[in-house]
Formats: sequence, C-alpha cells, structure tokens
Amino acid sequence: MNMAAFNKIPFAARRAAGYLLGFALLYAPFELYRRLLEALGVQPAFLPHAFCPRIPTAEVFTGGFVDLNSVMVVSTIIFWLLCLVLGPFFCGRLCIAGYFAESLSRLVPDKYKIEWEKYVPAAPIRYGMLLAYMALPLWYGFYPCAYCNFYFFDTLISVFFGAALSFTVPLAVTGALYLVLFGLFTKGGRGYCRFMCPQGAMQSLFFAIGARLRLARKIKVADAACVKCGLCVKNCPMRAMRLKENAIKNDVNLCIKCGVCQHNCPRKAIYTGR
Amino acid sequence: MPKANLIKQNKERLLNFAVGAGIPAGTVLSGTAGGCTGVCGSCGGTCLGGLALAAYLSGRLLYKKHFNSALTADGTNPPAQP
Repeated sequence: MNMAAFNKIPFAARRAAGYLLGFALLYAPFELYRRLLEALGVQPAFLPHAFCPRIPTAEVFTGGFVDLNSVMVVSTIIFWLLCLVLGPFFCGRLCIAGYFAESLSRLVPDKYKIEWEKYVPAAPIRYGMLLAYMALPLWYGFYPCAYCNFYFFDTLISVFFGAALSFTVPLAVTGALYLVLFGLFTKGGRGYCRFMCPQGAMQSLFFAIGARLRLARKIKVADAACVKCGLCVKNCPMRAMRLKENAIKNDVNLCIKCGVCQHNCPRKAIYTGR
Repeated sequence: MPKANLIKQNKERLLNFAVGAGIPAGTVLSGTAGGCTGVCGSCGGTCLGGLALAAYLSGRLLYKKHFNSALTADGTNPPAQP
C-alpha cells in the first residue's frame, strides 16, 4: 500500500489498528510476541506479557542484565534506541491498555472530568515512581508490580476469554485508579499513563534524553502557521500540549507521539522534527 | 502581571517526585514483599500506596478548588467566575 492510499484510511481507524496489533502481540489468546520468542527457542523471562522493557532496564542496576537471554538483551537495547529517537512509540501506537482507558473516558461528559495538570504536575510524580521501581529491586530483590495496568488489563481479558478472576485487593485498587479515577473521570482518559505508568515514564525519559542530544523526533509547531485555536491542547490525551506565552508548546516528558494533535490541527502546523 | 505558576516551582516538583517515589516504595515498606494474598490486611497494606496517591491527588484538587488558588498550566489565573 502506498502512502496516499494509507492516508485515505481515517485517522481513528489507523490508530485503532495499531493498538489492536499491540493487543495481538501481547495479550491472550494471541500473544504473538511470546509465540515468536518461543519459535526462536527463547523462554520468555517475564510473564505474563513476555514484553516488559522496564524489568530488563532495572536489571542493568542490579547487574542481572548480563544474565538475560540474548534476544531479551538485544530487543531491550533496540527498544531504548527507538525511544531515544521516536519517543514513547509503544504508548502512542501499540499500548492497548492506555488506549482502552482513553476510549473509556469518552463515555463521560467533559464537565465531570478532572484536568489534573491544573492542580498537580504529572511528570515529577511519574518520574518519582520510575525511580522507585528501578531502585527497589536493588533493595528488595524483586520487581514491584502492584500497580501494573498491563497485568490488570491482562486479567480483564483473560476473564473475558473464560479464565477465573483472581481477585486481589491491589488489583481492585489498580482497576479503580486506572479505569475510574484516571480513566473515566480524567480529561484525556490517560491519567494512569500520566501519573503511574513506569513503562511510559521510562520511554519518556529516553525521549527527553534524546531531545537533549538532538536525536529525538519531537512534536513541533510551526508558529507562523499556528492560529492558537487550542484544538491540539484540548484533544491531547496526555495533556502534553500547552498554550504558553502565546505559543503552543509540547512537553517531551508527557508526549507519547500518538499523532492526535497533528490530526486535529486545522492548519497542519504540527509536524515532527529534531 | 500573572502570578507565578505554583505547580511549576521546583519545590512542588521535588515534593511530587517524592510522592511518586513513595508509592511503589510504600508497597514494600508496608508489608511483606509482593505478598498480597488478596485477603485485605494479610500483607500489611500492599495496596495502600495507590490509595495514598488517590487521596493525595484528590486532596490537592479539593484544596486548590476550595481556596481558588489553582492556576492554569500556562501560569495564568483561572477565568473569573460569573
């Protein structure tokens, strides 16, 4: 398919297709990524998802990174490099867990939703959580996954496909935060991604480093073309777009490169570049 | 002249960074490591960190709304109420 034909597909359909691919790669009953690893003769180190770059990254600090199988090491390094250049592409294009909460939030009228960024800065909280997630294995020797929305989503899907619900209190708390407080009642619906997701925070950290090194392809706004209509600010699910000093700014610490701002810009003033 | 954006101050960033770090740390400090059995209380409160985050955020929201001291993220005051 050439680019012109690809661009004719509605943006929402293209976006949903990416997340469905993410679902097929990581979640039961498909779990294509795990099946691929098994086909390569590799026993996935991290279940239930097999794919969790946060854990191998934490292994760098514990010294366990060298003990990982070569496929896991290579895929994690490739993941880091991609994040340096492309940013949180996994969050923006493949993570069905985040997209699910975002979609769910559309069920609630905006007047009942909270714009958290007016009251609390999100980036320090998620980076603080990331630091603790990285440091705790050194201290306690295990990976705290109490608030993993992947795990919650996986459980939800498993139940849908007939598995018994293994109800735990942290699971209920995670579900209430992820889907209710930070989903249904948060503007953009990605409150969990903004405050709690260490996976996303790790990708954003690499993206921010890439931006400093001028490697990252960031979201940029052509000031001459921009009419400050605010549609990008209003529609950004991560609240990464801000009207600041009469110009639209993008926060690399929150942006997931989902492309919603570009799609909604009536003047096509938003582009990606270094 | 608009007031300084309170949530962009370094003190605020540091405080919220510490809050963020405290959430997963709380899960292990509060009880046996990863030892949730699903029976509330059996682990010493593994899930309390998440509840603490929800309480902290809700508290800030209510406090700022109550005292009308919330500023928009671009550093300006919120629009005046009619």
